Amino acid sequence: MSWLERSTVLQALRAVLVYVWYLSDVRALADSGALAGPDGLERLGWQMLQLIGVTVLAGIVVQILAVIVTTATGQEAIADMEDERDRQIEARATETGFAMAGFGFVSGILALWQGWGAVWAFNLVLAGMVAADVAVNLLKFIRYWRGG
Amino acid sequence: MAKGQLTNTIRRLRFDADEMTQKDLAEKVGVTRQTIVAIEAAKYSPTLELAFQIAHVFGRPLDEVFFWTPR
Repeated sequence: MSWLERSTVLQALRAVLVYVWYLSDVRALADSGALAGPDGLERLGWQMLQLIGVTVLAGIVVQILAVIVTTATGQEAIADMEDERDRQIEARATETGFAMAGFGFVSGILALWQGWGAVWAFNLVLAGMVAADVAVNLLKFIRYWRGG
Repeated sequence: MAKGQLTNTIRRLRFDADEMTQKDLAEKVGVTRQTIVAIEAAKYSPTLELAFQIAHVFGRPLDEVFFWTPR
């Protein structure tokens, strides 16, 4: 497994774990009624800010882990060890990711139009981005596994 | 566009070139070893530039290294 392949697998795991944590947190808040009413958006905003912070931190930790594992296996952990196959895999996965994020955005707008609350519209937009993040990493992993 | 498969003789050429390793070839053409593995297994079709570089390493014309077979 190359540095980028290993990093992709770890980032896919990171995406799934962080969003499972976020979704379980938001669901608990929704069940308790904390997201209802005029204060609901403020609470959701704080949750999303936490999500961004945790995502960035987890991303850094995962990269460090990838370096440690790569170095431990006797390979060179060089971030710029990227070639045309890596770029092609990245481009194809990102294409799908953009489509999914766009779908989430449109879903959020449709939800607003249908009279859903802003909290759920925001969550639909976020769900699209979450799905895109997970899908990009999974697609990259599948393509690396298949060879290209 | 007509469908086909890009095969190659890289494994054989490496063997003939003093059993050159995949890592050595990868370093000579500036890609990862995994990319050479994928090309040899016909799972990844290299760009024209990389294909020429690989052929150049073995001192062969492109059409002696890569073959396109219609399906």
